[in-house]
Amino acid sequence: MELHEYYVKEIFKTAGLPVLLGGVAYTPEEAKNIACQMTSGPFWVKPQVLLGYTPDKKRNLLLEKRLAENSEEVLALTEQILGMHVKGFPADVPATIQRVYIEQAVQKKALCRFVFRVDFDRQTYTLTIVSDKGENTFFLTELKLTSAIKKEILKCMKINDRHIGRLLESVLEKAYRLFIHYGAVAVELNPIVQNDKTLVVVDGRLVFDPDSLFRFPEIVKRQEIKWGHEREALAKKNAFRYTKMCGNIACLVNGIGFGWATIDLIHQKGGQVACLLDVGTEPTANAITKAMKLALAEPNVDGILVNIFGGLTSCKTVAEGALAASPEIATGIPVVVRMAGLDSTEGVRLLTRSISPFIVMNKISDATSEIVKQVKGVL
Amino acid sequence: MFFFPNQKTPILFQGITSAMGRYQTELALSYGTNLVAGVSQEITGKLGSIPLYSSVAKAMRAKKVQVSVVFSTPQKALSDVLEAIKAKIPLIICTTEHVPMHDSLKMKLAADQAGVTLLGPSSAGILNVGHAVAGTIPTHLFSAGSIAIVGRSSSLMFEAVQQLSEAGLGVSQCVSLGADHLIGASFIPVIECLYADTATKAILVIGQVHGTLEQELASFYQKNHPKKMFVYIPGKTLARSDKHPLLGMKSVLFSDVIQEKKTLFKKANACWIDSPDEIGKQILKEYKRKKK
Repeated sequence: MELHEYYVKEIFKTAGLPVLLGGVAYTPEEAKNIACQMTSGPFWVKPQVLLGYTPDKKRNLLLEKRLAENSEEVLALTEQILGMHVKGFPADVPATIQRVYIEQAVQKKALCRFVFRVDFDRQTYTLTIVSDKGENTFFLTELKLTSAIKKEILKCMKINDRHIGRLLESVLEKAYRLFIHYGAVAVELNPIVQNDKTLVVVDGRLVFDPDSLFRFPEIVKRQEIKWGHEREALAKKNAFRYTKMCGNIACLVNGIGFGWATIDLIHQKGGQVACLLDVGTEPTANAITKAMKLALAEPNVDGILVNIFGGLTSCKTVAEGALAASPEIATGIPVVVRMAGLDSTEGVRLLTRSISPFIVMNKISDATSEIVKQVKGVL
Repeated sequence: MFFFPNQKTPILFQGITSAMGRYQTELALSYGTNLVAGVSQEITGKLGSIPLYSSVAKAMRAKKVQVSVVFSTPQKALSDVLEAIKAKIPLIICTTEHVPMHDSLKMKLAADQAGVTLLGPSSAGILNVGHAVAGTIPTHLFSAGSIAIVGRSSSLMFEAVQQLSEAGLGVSQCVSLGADHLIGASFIPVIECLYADTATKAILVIGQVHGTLEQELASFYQKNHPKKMFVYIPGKTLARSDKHPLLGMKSVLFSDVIQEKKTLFKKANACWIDSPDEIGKQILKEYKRKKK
């Protein structure tokens, strides 16, 4: 989970990291005011957008930061950017830029640049630092950066200037503390540049662990939906997970590994999966209904495969959830259901007892073949 | 050290009075598991015939517990697991899903330091078929036999169990390591125990794209392979990429990661299963061939 850059910069600032002066603007006038309050240009005008995915491979100039020499240029640029519709997203994505972040720009010719990143290995925290002298990775298990490690880092980075060394140490320590404090997945400072006699963090990312957000209600409040992730957000609200793919078969499963195995089978049989809906180990009937409806509402879905293996999941609950969504199943959309394990006899009985739109299968191989066959018939 | 609990192994349930705890208590007792104590902050006295304690330390003093199964919320998982580690329970199974990553790492480090084994988080536990169940594995799917299953994805493991049943093959042990990015015990200690387990003739491994546990297992198996091993890893046809743990920030395609793992297992003389609907059939084929 990520936040807008201006929120991240705010968090960085509170943590004592050296960031550039800046402010967020919703109108061109606000942008100009922010620029006027800073001593002098140049400024960066940065569109604030959370991208779920990049619509095309080409660089989208509209989304990149731009340089403005003075406050008048800031005004003109912001006028251009705000309210612009970014092309390449589906129609249901509100792809309009609504905020810009105005920031004091630093000179292009920086004396030295570092990229710093902390994240995870399977057993340790991993700290990577990159500079023109090369890349170094350190593995840590401590909750603090000890002075021994800090010395080691400076040695590896071949930093001889003691003043810069001390500043860098302090930046790294603060970033690491931030990482531990938020239980973050990653903190990235990219780059840290030397601006005169000081160090400045120009850009940075703070990636939150969605599972640790219960500890940070103030972050949850600031969470926003990424462009192109509207379905993911809706899914999360209803306690299931949605993953977009590019085919035409929606796949509803319990468990991600099980889901991937199901997808492998569909692909091996010549089908293409449109999306994976993972309802987890103990879904409610409501989550199943909502997942079915989400799949049915997707324009490129031509068929649905429900594959459930009941360990803790009751197939009866799944059947009830699926039945509740059945009025929305349009003719011509085949829904193949395969259920096994806990309460499967009961579940199958529910789905087959009356006129129902479901094709019930017994085995994973038959069910995947059937949905591929059915969908090919549609085309 | 890892081990398989049997009908004599004294087991403790932490969070026994939660909905899942109560449900699993019934199932475990009816399977003949030696559940001797429960820890609950909400209720005192007894849950059915099981005495309840307010802390792991108290339960440990009253009963010599060998295994603890933790049924906690993500909020409480870390403190509950640390409590069990502090009480030096030799085998701890954390069934909680959605545990924060930093918490998982803290659990793992603490367990390593104390010299106890942690399974999970997000582990479905251990089933010693016909003897005892510790965790959330649905025992009704299993019939006794000689194939052991160790895996990351529990639903997929249960799918494999059904395919084995259809092929007329039963299961000896079933161990779920947990599907999370960061987990306690890896494959190797479990496989070592399976080598020593007389009921087990062959081992089925259900792996994962992410991480390097499978590579470690493959090189372990290459050196030491007294029993036949079958391996399946889902995800090879997904057009996605994963951050490669050894290459820092570079990302690699799922298909390439699985191909790499496949090559290693094949080199180690393990039997690779290509398709998830062939698990039962392929193991049966190998079995028949062996008998001839």
